[in-house]
Order: sequence, then C-alpha cells, then structure tokens
Amino acid sequence: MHRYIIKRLLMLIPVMLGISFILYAIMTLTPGDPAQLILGPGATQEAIDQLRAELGTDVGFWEGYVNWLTDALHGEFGTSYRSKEPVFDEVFARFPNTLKLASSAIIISVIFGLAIGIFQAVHQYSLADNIMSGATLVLTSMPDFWIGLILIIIFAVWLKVLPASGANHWYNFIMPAITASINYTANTIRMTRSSMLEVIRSDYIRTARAKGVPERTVIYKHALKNALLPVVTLIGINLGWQLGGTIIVEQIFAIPGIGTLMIGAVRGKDTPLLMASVLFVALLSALINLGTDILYAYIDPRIKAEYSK
Amino acid sequence: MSEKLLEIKDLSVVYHTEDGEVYAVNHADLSINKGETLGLVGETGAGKTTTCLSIMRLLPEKLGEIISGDILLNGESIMSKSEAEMRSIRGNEVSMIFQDPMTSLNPVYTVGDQIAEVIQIHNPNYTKEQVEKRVDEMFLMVGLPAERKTEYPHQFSGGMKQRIVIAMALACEPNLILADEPTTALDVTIQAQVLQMMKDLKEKLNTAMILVTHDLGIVAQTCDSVAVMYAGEVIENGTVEDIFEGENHHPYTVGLFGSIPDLTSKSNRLHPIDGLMPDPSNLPKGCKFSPRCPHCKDICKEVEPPVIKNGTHMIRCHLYK
Amino acid sequence: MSVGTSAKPKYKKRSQIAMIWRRFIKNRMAMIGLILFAIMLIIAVVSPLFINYETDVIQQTISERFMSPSAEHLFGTDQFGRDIFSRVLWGARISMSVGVAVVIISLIIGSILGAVAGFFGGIADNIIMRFMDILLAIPGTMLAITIVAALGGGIQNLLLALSIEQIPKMTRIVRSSVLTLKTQDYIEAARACGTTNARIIYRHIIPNAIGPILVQASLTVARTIISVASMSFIGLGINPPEPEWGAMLSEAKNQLMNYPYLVVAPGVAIILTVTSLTLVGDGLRDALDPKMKN
Repeated sequence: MHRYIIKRLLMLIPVMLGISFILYAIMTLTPGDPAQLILGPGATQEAIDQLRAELGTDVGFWEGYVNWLTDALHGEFGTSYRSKEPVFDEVFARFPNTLKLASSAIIISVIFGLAIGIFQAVHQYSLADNIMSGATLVLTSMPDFWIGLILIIIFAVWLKVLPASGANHWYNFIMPAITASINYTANTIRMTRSSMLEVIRSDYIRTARAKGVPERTVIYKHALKNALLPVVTLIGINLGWQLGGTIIVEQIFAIPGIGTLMIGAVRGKDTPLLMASVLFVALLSALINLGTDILYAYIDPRIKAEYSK
Repeated sequence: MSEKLLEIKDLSVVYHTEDGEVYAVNHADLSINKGETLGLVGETGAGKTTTCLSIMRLLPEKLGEIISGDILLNGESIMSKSEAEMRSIRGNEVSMIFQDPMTSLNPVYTVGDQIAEVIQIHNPNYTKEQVEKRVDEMFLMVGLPAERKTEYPHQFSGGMKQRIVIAMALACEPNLILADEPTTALDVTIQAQVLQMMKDLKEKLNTAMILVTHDLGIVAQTCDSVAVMYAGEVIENGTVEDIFEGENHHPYTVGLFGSIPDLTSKSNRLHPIDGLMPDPSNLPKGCKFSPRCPHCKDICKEVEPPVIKNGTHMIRCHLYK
Repeated sequence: MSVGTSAKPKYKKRSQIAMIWRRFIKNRMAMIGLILFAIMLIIAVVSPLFINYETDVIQQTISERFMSPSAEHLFGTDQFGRDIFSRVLWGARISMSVGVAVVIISLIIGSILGAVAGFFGGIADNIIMRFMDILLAIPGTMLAITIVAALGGGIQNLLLALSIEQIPKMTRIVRSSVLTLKTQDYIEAARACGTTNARIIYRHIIPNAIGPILVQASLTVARTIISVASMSFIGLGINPPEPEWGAMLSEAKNQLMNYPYLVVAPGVAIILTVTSLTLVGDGLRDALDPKMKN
C-alpha cells in the first residue's frame, strides 16, 4: 500500500513538469507581449525593453522555460508581472473562495445524489423513479451558467432574497453552490442508481436474502457498500474537476476565485501567475484523486490486494 | 413411514418479462421427507431453480409470480406467511446453496462476518463470543482453518468458497437445504470432495436436501428419490430404485440416460435427444415433450398427459395408460 | 431467466450492428432522443432556406426591440430588435457544426493515437499515454480556457481548444477497446494467418471498437455544445452578434432585471439538443451492453 502511494506520488512529477511546459508554451508562443500590455499602447520602445528585462521576458522560449523551472525547483515561483506580489500570495488569497464553492457543491451533490439514487434504485420503475429519471436527465443537460441565470432571476430579481454577486457572506455562496452542483448531483444520482441496480441483481444479494437478512440491511449494508465503489470514484473526479471547473460560476456571480484569477492572468500575459494557479489546482486535484483511490481500497479488499502487489 | 417435511402441490410460476409471459414452472408436484435427499434433474431452463426460489419465496420481485398451487413446510402453507415470518425461515429452517460460489459471497465483507450474520439474525440472544464460537465450529465442520475467517472471499479458491457457502447454509442447522447445482462451477476433483462433505454433514445433522443437478451420477450416489423436470413440469418422480431400475420410464428420462456416456456399454455413440427444449413463453399444446418424443402419438399433441402412478413411481405420459 | 443468446456469428460484422440497432429501436427513450436530435439536425441544415442571415439574424432594428411573442416574431425580439426565433434556429447551425467538428477532429486524432498506443504497446504506448495523462491532469475547462484566452476568440481557436480537451478521452477509449480486442482469439487467428497489422486494425479492430466510440462521440457532441455555450457566455468563444446560444445568453444577462424572458429560448434550445444526444448515447450504451440496462 505505501509503495503504491509513493509510486503514484512519484508519477506526479513528470505530469506536473509536462503541464508546466504546455502552459509556458501557450503563454509565450501566442501573440501578445506582457510588457507592452502593462505599459499600454503609448509606451516608448525603451520603456518596454526595460520592463522586459525586469520581468525576464527578454530571453528566448527555451531559456525562459529553463529559468522558470530552475527557480520553481528552488521553490521560487516568482511574482505577478502586474501586481508584483508573490504569485502564491495571490493564489492563496483567491483559493478559499473556490474551495468553498467547490466543496459545498460537492457536499450538495453527494447528499442528494446518494439519497435520490438509492431511493430510485429501491423503487425501480415506480412513478417517482420515472419522474426523477426524467428530471435528472434534463438536469445533466443544463449548462450551469444557465441554471445560474435562472436562479438569479428567481431569487435575486423576483424574490429579492439572495444577492446576485459578491463573496463576503456565507449566503453569497448559496446560489453559486447550487449552480455548480446541479450537473454533478444529476450525474451522481444516475451513477448511484445504475450501480445500485446492478449490485441488487447480483448473486451475493440473493445469498443475503436467502439467509433471512431483513431488506433494509440487504440494501444499506450488503448492496450499498458495493454500489459505492464507482460512485466514490465519480465523486473524487468531480471534486478535482470542480476546483478547475468553477470558472464559469465564478464569472456569473462575480466571485473572486482561482478561475477569475486565471482568466485575468492569461489575458494579461501574466505567465508566472497563470503557471502557479493552474499547477496548484492540478496538483490538488491529482492528490484528491489519489485520496479517492486510497479510500476505494478501504472499501474494496480486492483493490487493496491489487495495490499491495 | 417417515414424516413429510415439504410438500409442493400444483405449483405454477410465471415470469412477466418484457418479451411476454414465461411459464417457468407448470403444475409441479413434489414432496420430501425429513432427512431425505431428493434429486431434482433436468436441462437448464426446466424450472429447477425457480422451484427452489419459490420454496424460499425469493422469486425476483415483480418479475416472478406464483400463479397457482401451494407449498407446505411441516404441514404449514408458506404462501400465507408474512415477509417477517419468511425471513425467520430463510437460513434457519430452509437454506439455499447457490450455483456459483465465485459470485455468491459479498466481496467487501470477511467470510467470517458473512457466516456470523446468519447466526446472529436467527439467534438474537447469542453473545458475540457465542456467535464467534459457532463460526469457528462451522469452519472446522467444512474443513477450513478457523483463522481464515478474517479473510475476504477473493482470497479463497472456488472449492473453498463453496465450503464457506455450505457452512453458511448449515450454521443454523436447517431442516431443509436447497442445493442448486452446488458443484457445477467447480473442478471435477473438487466436486467429489464437496459432494462427499455435503453428504456426510447432511447425515450427521439429519437434514433433508433437494439437490438440483443434471448429473445423473451424482443422483445415483447421493439421492433417496428423484424428480425429473421438463419444461416446468415434473414428468417423472420416484425413488432412486424406481428411476434407475424401474421398467417404465418417461421417454424424456430414457433420453436423459441415453445422453450420458457409459463405460460399460459397448455402444460407441451417445444418443442425444433431438431438438431443443420448447420456448417457455410459447409452450406446445398437449404433452410439452411431444415435439421431441420418439413415441409421439396424435393424442400427445392435443391432450395433456395424465399422471400414472405405480406405488412410489409417478410418470406423466400417454404411453402407460 | 436469461433469454438465450440466439445470435450466430455468421456475418459477424453485419449481424452485430444489426443486433445493436434492433435493441436500440426497442428502447423508447433512445428513439425519442434520436428523433429529437434528427429534428434539430434538420433544422440546422435547412434553416437558411427560410431565414436570411443578414436581415433576420444580424440586422438590428431598434424600433422593434423587446417585442412580445407574436405571429411575426414567435419568441419576440431581443434588445436590438432581432427576431429571437430566427436567431435560436440559426444558433443550432453553429452549435451542431462546432459539436460535430470537434468530434470528428478528436475522433480522428484520438483513434490514430489510441490505435497506435494499444496495438503496438511498448514505448509508443508509454509516450502517447503519458502525454494524454498530462492533458487530463489539468482539471475542468482550464486548458481550453487558457488556450482560447491566449489565442483570442473565434471559431478556429475554439475548435482547437475543445478538440485538445477531447482528444485524451477518445484516445483512452480507443486504446482500451484495442487492448481488449487484441487478445481475442480471432485477432490471434488473423495474425497467425499472416494478416498485416494495418489490415487487422482496419478489418477487425475498428469494426469491433466502433460501439464504445459511438457512445463517446454522441456524449462528446453533447458536452461540446455545452462547452461552446459556456465559453461564449464568458466571452471566450463565439462573440456577438453571432447567434450562438451562449453568446445570446451573455447578451441577455445584461437585461435580466427587466427582460428575463430573453434567457428562455436559447437555454431551452441547449437543453433539448443536449438531452436528445444524452438519450441517444445512453440508448447506444444499453444496446451495446444489454446486461447493463436496467
């Protein structure tokens, strides 16, 4: 098990290097010069050259990447071109908002996803099951920004009970969290339902019933633990994905999170800031996925045996 | 005469599927005495498993339905019992061993826990220690070291898993075991071991057993009486002697014997039964075996054959009227 | 009660597709999805016959703005006096073509990469799959957004960004299909007969891997339509005045206070298209693997 974890952690090194290289390439090989952008169109060539030298963007692509990498390996991720603040100060200033949004969305999707999914599986083909299946299908097909707009119309424009933007109070996060969670909730419901149905049909569930185990225990002890396996994976992927996927929700509700920071960084050609923010989120989501896989092993002894090999 | 433990009268089961009604069991009669072993023989799809599941009242919900007949356990009908009463019967008075040991154990719980569960459910006043002690006894009884109870199903071989399933079935000393092809999924050598063990344990505990199989060799070895099923009907029923040594047989039974290799006979060819079992959603009129029967007469295609009784031997065929 | 597997592999390729199709048309929801999708597709194709792009879709007529639904303007008009009905129909052209283009691009590149990785294994497999791992490790839509934000909006950059996002998924699916198929007996047999690698891939592997790929393709079109709309909505995709659904919603966002009805039509159009594709994808998956059907 430890060997497996260490192996997975080591495998992250080339992945992170690869991501940094791709990002650096996208940022420096596309049109636009950071110094020019900062100084504006009226700047003199001298001023631009001077700023380039300051920022370290006056070197070629390879040299620039190697410089960045050498610094990064020494723990120096640099300062933002624009604000001159250390990049991780900016990332950590924004990250709590994204984390709040992503984690509350995941909590909503897990609670409702599991509860409704199990209910549907247990009451397969009932009227309630059919209605919920139709509803989840439509919910998976709704773009989250559209859900956000509808929520704003209802709760901010008509009922005037919730603010349409901002991130200062907990209630600022209600609509964004619901918006971000809808698709994931619907996916979790669908996955839980089909996974439960598959498990309920399996032989060991019949064995449990043949032992005289009460139906509740059959469902919540014997079936659920098995059915959770694929759902746990889905939740892990969702959470990792959410950290990088709240960009659009952040934009609608004007929440200063990582996504907004990132878009600003790309537009302003702020390479160090973009690299830091994307790498941070990618690393975090990789670690979450690793965490899910470890959790998986604790649910399923077969997987644990596989990892220990 | 020994006491009747289980009696099935005129049992009919239908599955309501997407492709229409499937008549899995049709007017089947069976009975088994205390401590006896009944072999239930027939091709795949003859309704053997469905019969067993009906006894447990574990037919797939909404899909399978008992449309007629009665099942009496110790003289009491189980049809009128509540779900709670049935639960106290399952695993306690009647246990079932399923065909495939590879999939009949829950992969995420230890085998010890799975055996302990059945003991706990039916003996709610047992202490933890008593339950554990019983689990150890059961391990010993089926020939497995008790230390392995903390392991998970994937750590055992197929034969060992079936031993665990048997331990689970016997843990509450039931009066009746329904063994649904318990050795089909196992290697031949393991098959013999497991069967011998089941036979010994059954004698030791004086348990009755319905052994579902299509292996006539196993039947001759272990059973007291035999019922042959075809297309959901019991077409021949009697003691082992009736079936193996009796004079008259249903043509299907004859065919069944003809399609197994016999080392002693000189014939170097097997005699398989021509054709396939009829589609249970579209059964033929009259005798269900008539389309494949070498002795088929006009009457067979029109009228359901009567039950011909000769002592303990029962045949459902127009031939012996 | 298992219903017997009656299919005899006489004409393996044809009968398998026929069998999948038979199961598919028996699935009511899948057929509803297919018909709905076909209608949307037909609308997208024929809309130029009765809608004039210049006068109906783009031209602003300020005197006619914010008109309520009427016989002339079925869904009313927007803040620039343009007919919303015409714009939503035209939007289907944009969404469908981007969706289909992304699938074709990612499918071609993903199939080549996946087939090479799966079939040849070894170093080729390692290089390709590690690269895909890197692309997949960038969570959410961060990669696509970075690319478009760096290159600027417009349909070409959008296609590039969304295809790059989809290629790793396609590659993985094709690779795993190839890996499962590679060990099948008939592939071994073909190889034993001296069939060339290219012919094995073309004759045996592709026809058999087509199922999972079709499922992924229909879901990819669905996801892409949402991605295009989302990115256009935040101004990183197709820009107004093009009647892309997300771009229309982005314009409508500024009118939420007074004219909230503007968000209805484009949103419903997205939901209908994506729902129909999801139904088709689910139906295909069930038809391919009947035991998964519940």
